[in-house]
Amino acid sequence: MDFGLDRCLECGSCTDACPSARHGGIVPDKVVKDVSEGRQAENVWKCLQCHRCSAACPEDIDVAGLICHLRNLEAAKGDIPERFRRSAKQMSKDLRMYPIIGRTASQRADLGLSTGEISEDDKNKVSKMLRGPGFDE
Amino acid sequence: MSDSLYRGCSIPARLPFIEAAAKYIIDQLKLDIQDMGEMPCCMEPVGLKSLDHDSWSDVSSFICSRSKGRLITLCDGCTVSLAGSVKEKGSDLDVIGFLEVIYENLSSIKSKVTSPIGISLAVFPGCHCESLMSSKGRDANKMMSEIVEAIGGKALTPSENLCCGGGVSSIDDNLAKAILNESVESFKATGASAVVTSCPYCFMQFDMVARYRTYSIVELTAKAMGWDADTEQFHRGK
Repeated sequence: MDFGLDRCLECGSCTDACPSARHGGIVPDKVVKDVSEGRQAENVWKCLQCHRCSAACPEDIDVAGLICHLRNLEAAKGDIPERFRRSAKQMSKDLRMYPIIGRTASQRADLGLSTGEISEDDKNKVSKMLRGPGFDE
Repeated sequence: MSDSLYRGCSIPARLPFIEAAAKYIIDQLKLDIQDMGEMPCCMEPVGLKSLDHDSWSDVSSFICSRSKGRLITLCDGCTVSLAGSVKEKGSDLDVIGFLEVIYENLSSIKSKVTSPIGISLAVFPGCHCESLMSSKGRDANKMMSEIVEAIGGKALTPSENLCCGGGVSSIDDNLAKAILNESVESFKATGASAVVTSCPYCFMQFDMVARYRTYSIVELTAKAMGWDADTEQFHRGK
């Protein structure tokens, strides 16, 4: 995938905008440099995927997209944080990150909102789409 | 052609008052927006998209294929995920968040304000909303500030490039807490009595984790227009 890393000016705008970097997490400009020079990027799971790095880049490099791609590669090797492993399991089970439980159904009724189910046909279609790392466990 | 409302899964299950408020606004303004009904998760852009690109692409495309007219989302994570799918596929489907719906109807909303909110608010649309608007050459902070002023509040501006920290919660809790605290301290420094956001994840982080008084821009807009639902049970922040 081409993220346009050859356009990087090494200006550090991505890191200046990064809330994680300010507190010792991922360092976006270091990730770009490491990938450009063939090294393993560090701390990719400490990225918030907030996209502030991409928005700040004067060369329109999709730094957040790059980091997401690096996470895909890590996940393919089985390196998945437990939180996201649970998310994938939940998604595979209900096709929703947050299922509507009894208390919420009651709150929804009080607000005049209905509560329904995804159709069986759609459940079958979407379930077959979930086939990658985390979803196949 | 009607627009389509995609509700996502965090708001219907965790913050249903935002869905109810949005529907009140749609009804009051007589907007031609139809609920898409029960749909799967958008494959949210922080965790699920990070696991497998093809699974994300297929599911998000499936949701987009069901949209008629514009696809309107309640959650900015959904907007990022579905707009990303549209961009990747080269589709001309327009995916917009509910903040944009409010903003494009602001003059009508202003004429329907019966209960001005009368509070000072730190304006924080949220990272995803801000980056999406930025990609369209628009300023989410300015848009939300105009909405706050139109419904009778005072808009205050915290520091730039803040985040709720939710993306690294349960991955690096110290990091998540530091990012969250930085934001809340910046909100307090404005002198505001609360923060207003358009993102449900930001709402949960600020309200439920930091216990800081937090409002949804959809909730406040509906309240200003006369929506009288009791939403206090959904607020834990003081």
